[in-house]
Amino acid sequence: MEMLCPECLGPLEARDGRMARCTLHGGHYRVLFWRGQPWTTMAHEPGQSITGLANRIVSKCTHCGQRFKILAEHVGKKARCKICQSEFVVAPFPSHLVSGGDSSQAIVASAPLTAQATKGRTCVRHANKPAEYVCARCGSPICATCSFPQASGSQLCPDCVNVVATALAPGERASEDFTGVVCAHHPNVQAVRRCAVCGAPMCATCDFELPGRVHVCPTCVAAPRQGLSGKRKGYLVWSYVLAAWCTLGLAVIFSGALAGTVESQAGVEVLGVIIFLLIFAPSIIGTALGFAALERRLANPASVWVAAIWNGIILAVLLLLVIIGSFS
Amino acid sequence: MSLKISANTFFLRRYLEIDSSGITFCETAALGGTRTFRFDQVDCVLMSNDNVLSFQVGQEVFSLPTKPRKRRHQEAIETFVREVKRAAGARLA
Repeated sequence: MEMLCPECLGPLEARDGRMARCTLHGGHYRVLFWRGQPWTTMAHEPGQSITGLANRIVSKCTHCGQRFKILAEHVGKKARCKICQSEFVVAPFPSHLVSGGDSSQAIVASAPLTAQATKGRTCVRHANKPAEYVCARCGSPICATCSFPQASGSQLCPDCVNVVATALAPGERASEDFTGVVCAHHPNVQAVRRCAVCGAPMCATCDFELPGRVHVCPTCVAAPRQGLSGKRKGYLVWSYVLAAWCTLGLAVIFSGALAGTVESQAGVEVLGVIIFLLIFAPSIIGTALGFAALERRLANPASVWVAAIWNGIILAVLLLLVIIGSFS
Repeated sequence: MSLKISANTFFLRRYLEIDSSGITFCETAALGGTRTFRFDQVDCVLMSNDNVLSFQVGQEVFSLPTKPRKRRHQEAIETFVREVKRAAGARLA
């Protein structure tokens, strides 16, 4: 079965099974699936057994940091590093720290320790309780009370849960699963979080942390998007509308058009209430919307500042009128 | 429940809908023009550098622009590829 180019319907030449090139115009395409390639028929979803591929986990030597692919059944057991010859406890290396590779190398859920491995092993925090899991981050044996199950199926100890929780950017949900989601700039690398500005998935290499723990992608770092989000646009538009309305109201007041329209004290009070509802209250709302459209951490276009300052001036003038009127 | 990737323009109605039975592709300026395929009929799925998703059924190729920054598009593409792979695996079994 031959792959055809979407543009010219010419034959595509598959390179490594992941990229294809049009033999006519040279365009490159990423192959997401191809029936003619044997590897595409293999189910690469995590958890499915394919000749032991998904039964292997990535573990890291705690002394030299060398990573190894080890059968999942050895989780919790001692192993000797081939590089530094040190002993370490086999524990799944967090999947979001594994760079490159496909999802089949992702971490299998930290399996409970076998009966043989738990013999004599106790929880690091409760010496009188047998260990039932191994922390996926630090490899410490933990009991059922100390284990915090994660969305990926692994277990974390109380110390690592706090570290992971505080490492997340504000507004980012801890339970977001990036399994199968690739980086927008590196199609072969799994994404670890989303850009705070544009929402594009990005890998650890593309992740730029700005002051205030704001994570942005390289595109937004190099050329920050000047556009506003839909919500901020709405705030901005309404703040301009209210500013224009209040300016018109102030112009009517200062022009003296309302002078002489009412003579009785009751009429004056009613006029005051009307001015409050039609001009003063909208100016308060417009000022609030103008400042709500401001973004504290990112750049703000000039139009946002203009709206906030304009509304602020109107509100200040009205307050001044109220103060003067109360003293007169 | 179905996932949908819409890429409509003023003159063109274009979308790809993925549900449990297969996919529905529509590219038309007027009524009609909807094609429905099962997952096991899809032979090839490609993504260009400018994020145009293409899939091949026999000797026909269908293309649809996508937005990588839109989570719904990403989810639909992932589901589409996963179901096509699953159907291909079942077919070989």
